Amino acid sequence: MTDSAKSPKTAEDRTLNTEDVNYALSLLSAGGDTRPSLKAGLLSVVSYMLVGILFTSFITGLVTVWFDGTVGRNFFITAGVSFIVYGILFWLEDSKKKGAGDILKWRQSEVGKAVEEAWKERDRSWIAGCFLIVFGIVSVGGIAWFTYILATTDMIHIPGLIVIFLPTLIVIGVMGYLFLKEEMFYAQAYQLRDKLEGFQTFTEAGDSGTVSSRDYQLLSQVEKIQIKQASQQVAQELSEHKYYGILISPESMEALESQDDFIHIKQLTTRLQGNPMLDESQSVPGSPGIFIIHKDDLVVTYRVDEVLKRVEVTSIVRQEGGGTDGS
Amino acid sequence: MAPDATAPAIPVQYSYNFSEKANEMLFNTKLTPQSIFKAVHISLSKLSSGPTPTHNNDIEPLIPGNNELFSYKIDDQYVLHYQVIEAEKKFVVFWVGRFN
Repeated sequence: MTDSAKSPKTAEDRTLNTEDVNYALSLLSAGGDTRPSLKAGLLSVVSYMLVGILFTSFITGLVTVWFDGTVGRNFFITAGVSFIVYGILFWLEDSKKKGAGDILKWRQSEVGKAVEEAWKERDRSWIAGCFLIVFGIVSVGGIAWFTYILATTDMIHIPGLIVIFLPTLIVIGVMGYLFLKEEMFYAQAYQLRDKLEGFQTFTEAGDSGTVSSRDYQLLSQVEKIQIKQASQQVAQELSEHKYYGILISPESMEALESQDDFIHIKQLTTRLQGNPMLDESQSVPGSPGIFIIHKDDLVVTYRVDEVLKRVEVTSIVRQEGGGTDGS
Repeated sequence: MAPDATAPAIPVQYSYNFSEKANEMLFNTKLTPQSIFKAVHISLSKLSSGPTPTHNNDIEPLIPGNNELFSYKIDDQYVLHYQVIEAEKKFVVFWVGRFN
């Protein structure tokens, strides 16, 4: 990553090189290729708002029909229309779920869950919950007051109607805003993935791509969540003694020249994991407990501590003209 | 390739390894085995040099209050995330991060 990308978080854009782009794509692609669409997200928001209107109209209709049949019928008509429109949207959304852009499948994937967790950590707060509860109470109070007005007078009371619908509309608006914001957060994740895929070609050619600080923050949050998930997985694997440790001296390290050499050393522990019983034919004559393997031109001697579950590399020597594969 | 002379001596009681995921990630970076080993060794020496690893500015607990999971900033580009198993004197890197 470039220095600018690693600088303290500011409102500045971040520059990504090809390594950054590939890594970011791996973070956002962990769940596979299914991605939600903004259209499906907006459909959900409108659906939820319609449920709010349906519920409010129905309750108000029930209350007012007892006092004034005309008002009650109007509310029931509103509720009925909301119900029909909601039904159509639900059907459309459900049809979409069966298609390629399966929003639910994506959200249940590894990266979908990471994005969801990132969203919860960033934007969802108890303050929003309290806000909704308070305005919900005000709404109910407004309905009660309006009912009282209707019961004691013979006319439609305009201020009463405002008292009922203003808090209700605010509640619906806040809920809609929160849902829309969440949907936009998801949308940001998959739009960023599209953007990064577009970066791949020219960053591989040596140029860099730029993402906004908001996008960078999203990547950082998704990374954080995935690191936590990885830590849980490795804890489980360690409890099963999946990884033998490697103990290697700085002197032995001098013989390591490439990532291939590194793989050879790592293979020692992988082999032990697969078959903890050591091959006695690889033991060093005259040195009990010491084993030797040849890999290409690399000769490694080691001992195994089964109590501490580790390989202690005693020497690594590079032989000229080697080539025997003894692993 | 000669090792960095500034790298501190290895605290011999600790061994290390990389999870499959970390292994895969390492090979997608420009890190050399030496730079990885150096980072591991420096981190190990710091880990065993004080009352708690957190007194070093570049080693932080991954999760506050958890004394097994740590993050070690190699340089401006990479951060190693690792778990320490004291009972086995082992150190396992499970993630090579870039955006935190």
